[in-house]
Amino acid sequence: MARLAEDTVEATLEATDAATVRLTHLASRFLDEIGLASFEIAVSEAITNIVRHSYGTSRSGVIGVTLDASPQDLTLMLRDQGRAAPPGLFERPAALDRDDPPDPREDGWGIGLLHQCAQSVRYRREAECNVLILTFQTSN
Amino acid sequence: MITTTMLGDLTVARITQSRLIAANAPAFRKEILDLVDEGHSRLIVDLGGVSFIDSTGLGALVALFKHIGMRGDLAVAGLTPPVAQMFKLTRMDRVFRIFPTVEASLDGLKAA
Repeated sequence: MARLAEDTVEATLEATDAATVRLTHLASRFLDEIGLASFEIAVSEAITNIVRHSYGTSRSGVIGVTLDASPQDLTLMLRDQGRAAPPGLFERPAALDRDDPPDPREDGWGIGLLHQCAQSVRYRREAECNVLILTFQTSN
Repeated sequence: MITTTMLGDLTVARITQSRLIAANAPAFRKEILDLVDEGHSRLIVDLGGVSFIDSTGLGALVALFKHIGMRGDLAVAGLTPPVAQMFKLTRMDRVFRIFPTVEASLDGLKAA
């Protein structure tokens, strides 16, 4: 397992987008074009979710980011000290692939996209921190 | 965030930001909805310069889709592979009229 990144990112939309770009660049040699696009979507949605819902508008904070590579997969860990996620938030949405015709909605895509883009999505509350772990299968 | 070109009764709105994301999508949303309210209801959104869109950016386009509704036409054109993937994952590729280029969308909307 090789550590590709270990950063602390200010929990603002601007700072986290810069982190998304940087992480995607680091992941680019492990993933094909489709895999990399999925990686970028998942990272962006996960981090934006922390800024908006874990910290929200009334709190400031930082996000701890680590990215590790093994021969089989990439593992992204995001850690924040915001509000705990509601129980079951990160479970795969039941209606993810079933709404037909597709529902043109303006929000609420984020958790579903995590599950579509990452190989696994794990969440735990640990010592007053939220820990979100996403894995991505490498294409090498 | 957008530049516009009039082609007959069609308006091409080109997004000038390379990333349409949570940080800038609200400004884009307001600008493009205002454009419709000013009478530009036959609209082609040129995404050719957008290398990444997140769900908030997509939500702004969905808001535009709903805002135009039955009173006009909407097409999106020039999706780069990552943007096309977001449309596919959310199945908005089945909701929006998508063309490979602005030129193709001109033909598509004129034929409508």
